[in-house]
Amino acid sequence: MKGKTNSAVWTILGILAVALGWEFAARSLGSELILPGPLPVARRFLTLLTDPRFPPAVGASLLRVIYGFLLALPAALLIGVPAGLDARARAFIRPLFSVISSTPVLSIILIALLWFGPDRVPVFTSFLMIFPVLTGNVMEGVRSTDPRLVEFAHAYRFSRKDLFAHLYLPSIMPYLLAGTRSSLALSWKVVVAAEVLSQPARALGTGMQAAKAQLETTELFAWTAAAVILAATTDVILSIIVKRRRAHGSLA
Amino acid sequence: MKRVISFFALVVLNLGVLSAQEKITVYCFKGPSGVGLIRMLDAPPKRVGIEVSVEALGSADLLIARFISGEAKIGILPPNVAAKLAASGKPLAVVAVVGNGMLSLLSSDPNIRSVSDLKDKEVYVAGQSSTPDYVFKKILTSNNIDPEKQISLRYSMAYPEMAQALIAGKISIAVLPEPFASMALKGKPTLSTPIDIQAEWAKTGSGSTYPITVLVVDTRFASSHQEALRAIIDAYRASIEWTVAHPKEAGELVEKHDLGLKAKAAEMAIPKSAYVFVLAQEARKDLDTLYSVLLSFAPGSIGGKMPNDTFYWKP
Amino acid sequence: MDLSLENIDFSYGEESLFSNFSFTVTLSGVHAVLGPSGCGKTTLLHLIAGLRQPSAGEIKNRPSVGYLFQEPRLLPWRTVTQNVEIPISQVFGENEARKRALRFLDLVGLSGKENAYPEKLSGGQRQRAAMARAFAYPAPLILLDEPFQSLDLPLRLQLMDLFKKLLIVEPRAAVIVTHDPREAIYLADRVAVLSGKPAQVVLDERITLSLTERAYSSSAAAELEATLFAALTPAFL
Repeated sequence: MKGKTNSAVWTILGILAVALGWEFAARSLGSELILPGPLPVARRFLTLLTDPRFPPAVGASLLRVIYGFLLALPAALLIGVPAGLDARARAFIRPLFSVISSTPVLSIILIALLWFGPDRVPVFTSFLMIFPVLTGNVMEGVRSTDPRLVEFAHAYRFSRKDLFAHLYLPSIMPYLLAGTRSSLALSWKVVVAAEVLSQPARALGTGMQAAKAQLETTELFAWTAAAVILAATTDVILSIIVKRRRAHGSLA
Repeated sequence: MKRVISFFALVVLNLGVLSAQEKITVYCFKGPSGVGLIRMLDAPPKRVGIEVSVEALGSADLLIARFISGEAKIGILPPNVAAKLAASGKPLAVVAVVGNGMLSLLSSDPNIRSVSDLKDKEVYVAGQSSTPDYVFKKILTSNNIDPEKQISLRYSMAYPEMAQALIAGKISIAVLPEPFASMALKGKPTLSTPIDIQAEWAKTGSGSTYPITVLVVDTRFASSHQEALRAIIDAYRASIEWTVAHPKEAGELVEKHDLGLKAKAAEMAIPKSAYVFVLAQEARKDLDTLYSVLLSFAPGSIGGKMPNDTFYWKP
Repeated sequence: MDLSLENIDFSYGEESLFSNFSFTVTLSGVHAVLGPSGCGKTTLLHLIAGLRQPSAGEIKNRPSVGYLFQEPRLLPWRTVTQNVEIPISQVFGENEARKRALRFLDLVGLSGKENAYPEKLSGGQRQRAAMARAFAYPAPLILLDEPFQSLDLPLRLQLMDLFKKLLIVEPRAAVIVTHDPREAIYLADRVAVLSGKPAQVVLDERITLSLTERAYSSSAAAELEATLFAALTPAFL
């Protein structure tokens, strides 16, 4: 118990250190336009909560993150399972994935701006960024499936559907969940960045850009804080889901 | 040996002279707002002891950043940004208005004939929270259109993109300054200009024109470098007058110095743009009108209050 | 119709495991296949099950098979009942499959543990579940690959008795691979001894001992065991 209290105390100290460092830096620079202090930002954040633009922006940005996953997860399974099973499929998709993962995010956003409307640009960009990651996780999960179980399933003549549902999918789960957690953080960053450029009617990124255009640096920080808090919240929710699954005793 | 010594002596002398020169940079940013000072950029004023140069930064944002950091002592800015920076504590003052508004509303939709026809339409405006944005919004509210709810204003494109999108038919209504408005019309002659923005602005009772670019100076710099400032003022005024009188040559200089416009485009736009040079005290009325409209409409854009007297430079 | 392997060739990489190998399995009774480790006994089962294909020769009258491995090989993310019913739900339909699964779990003595996950069961219980799964699978032949090897002696005897009981309630043919002669004696009607590389059948005969004579402790068993052992050991020389 002592160890746990200790690390909690140190975490709080860490937070305080960051806040103090921030306050100090803000005071030294002395300009709210360049670096507002933590207290003004906190206050502006609270007023932001009552801004009529805020709840729709939160909802819309959150939906874009979710849509990105709704597109990427099935695609990752569709491509990742065969690729995990067959070396030829793996080799086939490798060039495509190399290209996607080495393309700078900004390039993708700018190209997407030409193809899609402002609401879809963030979803597309997020999808393209997380799809290779998730597929890689799926492939890893498939390849690490217990070969003895694979042998058993083939001996008992499992259908393709049963192989997927009862053998591969549960085997992939831990890898997929881990990949989802890291992709979630990435997705938030990418979605907000894309929103800043594509300016959908309701979006955190749009709010940020509007604040910046008005040179309202405090408000810009407040919107940023909102994005950070949302990303952290979704991460916590996801980790609770993961923990629940473990407790179920269903993971090897 | 004698030649070597005299060569070195010459170099040292010149270096000495050069280092005694103080470097003053007048900042502008690429785009139509800088066209007025092209002559000054090409041939900066010379005075003993100072070296004036004009630097064109890539975007207004970069220029604003330099003013915030204090690195820029003199340069051009949008009037609302100038007021906002002054309100937040920067010691800045407007020296002169160097450009008045000349916005066009272009439409490929024949059903748009008046401002009220814009209701529930999608209109592209460049520069969120810029003077054109506020001017346009003021016109909308004066015609009973709520800019937040009864119309879709889109800010995702920059001026050149908007012109291209209009030509390609990807967007149908946009508010553009020169030379982009002319570019769009040239590329798609079927576009119409059903609404005269400047006339609509006048109808809102805000005067016949609105400044969109002002020359701003750091007040401390202004008091310690009065000679230099006068030189810059004279050179800028001369540049504006020359540019308006010689659009073709000005256009060539604009392209030569990579100010972001092609010679032909600049040449076409100059007669239609309102490049002026009006000292702050004379332009005060127009600036006040603009600022009070902004204050009633979006007070945060100028920092919440009218600029005080020290904001308007006195010679 | 007997299952027969005729003139089978099979190699694992460079090694030839079977060369012109022939073997017959009558689909009644228990056949034990005895041999030292690595001689290809497991591969023989793979060939019978259709998991591998011979490079030459034919396998005739191959029936569908249930399989019991050395490890339980249960799906860790499914309950015991689900583990038994999943392989048979294609054939029987969901409801029937569930009923059948529960019945076999009861036969192996796991009623009460239907909703448990494998990690909550002991090693012996897991192997019993695997046995229920193998027997629930509607096939005329069950293949067993040293299924009792990893258990300690009391557990081994328990499970071997369970196996014999299941055979009475649900008669099947079985081919059981083992390296333990006593296991062969205890369980099988017929024993074949494989030896050498490539493997050859060096002995193939019926076991005519009575039930009591087959017990681990009986002298008759010991005698047969010695014979079998002798047949096995040339591989080591």
